[in-house]
Amino acid sequence: MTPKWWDSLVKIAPALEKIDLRVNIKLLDVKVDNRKTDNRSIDFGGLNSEQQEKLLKTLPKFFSDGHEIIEAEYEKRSKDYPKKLGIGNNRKLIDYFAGKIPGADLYALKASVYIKEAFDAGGDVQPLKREVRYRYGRRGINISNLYTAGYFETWIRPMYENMSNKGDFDRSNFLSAFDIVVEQFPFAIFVSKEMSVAEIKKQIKEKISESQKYGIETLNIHGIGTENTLNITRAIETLKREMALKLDIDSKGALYVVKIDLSGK
Amino acid sequence: MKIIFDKSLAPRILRAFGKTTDQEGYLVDENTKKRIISKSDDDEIRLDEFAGIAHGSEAYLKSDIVSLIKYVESGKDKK
Repeated sequence: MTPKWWDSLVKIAPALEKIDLRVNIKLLDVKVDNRKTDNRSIDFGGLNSEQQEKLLKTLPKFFSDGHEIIEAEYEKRSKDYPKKLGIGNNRKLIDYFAGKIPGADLYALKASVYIKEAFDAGGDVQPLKREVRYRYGRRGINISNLYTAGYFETWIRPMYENMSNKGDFDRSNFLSAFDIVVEQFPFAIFVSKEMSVAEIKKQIKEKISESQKYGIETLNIHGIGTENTLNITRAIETLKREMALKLDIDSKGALYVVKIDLSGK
Repeated sequence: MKIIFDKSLAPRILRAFGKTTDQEGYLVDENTKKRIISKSDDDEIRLDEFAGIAHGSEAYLKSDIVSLIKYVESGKDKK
């Protein structure tokens, strides 16, 4: 027995009645699959004007039974997100931090996972990063930068494990330390195109001084793209005239990292 | 079931639900003129952010990545 919404649809497009539901339907791009969940979809733009008008009139009724109307690009991205989450250790990382970091930060982290995968696939991620910044401000961007640079695995996770293994572990202490890492990332500088050579140099000097306070032995300077790479190089060259620096440079495609060894300082 | 629409058709879709936009481009109810609030972030929605209507209760969707993640996660519970 067909549901009422189907009968309504057939009134709009009578040709549907003659079509075998088990096959793809070109007329309305109705895809049917055999799973119990209802994954049928209709391409609204594929209907003619009269069909569109008739469908619009019946639309509100469809929503009483949990149906949806979704913008095409959003639908595509909603299928892409789970795929990207499934790549490598992405899901494991998200699952690890669930319940350990604040909910909003976890969403910023999930968005960061998607942004990184989109970047690695050659996509333009600036609009996505703007969306994170709009919702979560500087903190969201910091989380994104920390994630992209691998610090959630190399710093934050070990920090949690180290703290939680102690008998007197109090999650609020971890959250305080997490706040310091996210708000100040004492061991890293993320260079953006808004930063001048002078600003980069100033931040490096400040971070070197802070690192000594925290006992941090490495300061990493991250940049993406030619302009940022050049500015980092210029800042470092200027600083080398003022202080002895032990450097290690790692360059992979557009990603550029200068590691300053502070262990001797 | 899903109905998939192109962004350019958003105003027509909204009209079908008695919604339109105000002078600043935010979604509003045609009758009350109250701005529509997104459930994912309790924020108003601009036409260019409108991504659809989900799950039968007229939950208006925003197109940003975090709203999308919440939408995807809410869908998992229903499978």
